[in-house]
Amino acid sequence: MYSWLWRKLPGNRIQKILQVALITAVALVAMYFFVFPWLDEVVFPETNTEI
Amino acid sequence: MSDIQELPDGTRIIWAPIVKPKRFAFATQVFGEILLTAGVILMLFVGYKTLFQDNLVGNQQSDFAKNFTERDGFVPLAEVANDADIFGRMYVPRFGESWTRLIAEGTRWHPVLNEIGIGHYVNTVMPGEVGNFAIAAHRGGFGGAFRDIDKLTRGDLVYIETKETWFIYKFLETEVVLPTDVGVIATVPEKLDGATYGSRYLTMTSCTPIFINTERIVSWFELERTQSTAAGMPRDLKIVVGSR
Repeated sequence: MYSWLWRKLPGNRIQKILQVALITAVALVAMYFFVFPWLDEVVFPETNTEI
Repeated sequence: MSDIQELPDGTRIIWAPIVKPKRFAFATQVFGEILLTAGVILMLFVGYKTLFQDNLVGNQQSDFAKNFTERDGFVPLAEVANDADIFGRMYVPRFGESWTRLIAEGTRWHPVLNEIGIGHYVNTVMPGEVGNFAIAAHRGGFGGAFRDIDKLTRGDLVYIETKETWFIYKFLETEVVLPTDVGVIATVPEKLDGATYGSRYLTMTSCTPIFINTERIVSWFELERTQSTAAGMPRDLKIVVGSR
């Protein structure tokens, strides 16, 4: 999967590394600011007793 | 690509690599990479819960408490009636000179414990009254307001600012109890050595161990003194936190 993605990325090796870094950064931001807060609500629903 | 080996008797052995079906190999590789990716995401989520979210929410609660001005207004103690009514601000120098959180009515996670910080058990008395003023906060996650509750030592003071009065309580002792030991927030707290009727207690409760939450940690205080908010911040607290 990852090797296939690597091959699909345009440009030379340096350009590919930069693209991977950018994609990783975008994925991390999306996870930490959108996905994980949502997941937190789903996995740990509000309760009234446990603190 | 093969390798031919000839034995002394003339027998020829042809060695060739075992070729697995290509589609199956690709499927297993993809499946393995998906599992690895899921593992990495899970570890990132743990990091989010224990570090990122904890610090972020802790700073938000602290800023909210520091910037909560008289214009916003604490609800007077006699008028506290609704869930999440903010009626006080707490200072615990043992938790750090800049540590402060707001206190609101009720112990619901949202919006009291998760966003505001500290919640007041509705069936207990208000600050300064005879009986037990009991409050709760997270120990880990969502800012972990009471993370350092286990570091309190005898004689530590906590300060509660309300609309008209400062209440200063002195630390007595800490116990770790089971979640079913609800008597620890009773008018005369169970398990508190020498607890008597007619005293004015403060009970801080939180979960323990941090992020495991199978038990409860309870710290008891007794009212030492009060002073009017018109007189400003208590002098001993002012020395600790500055002129904020």
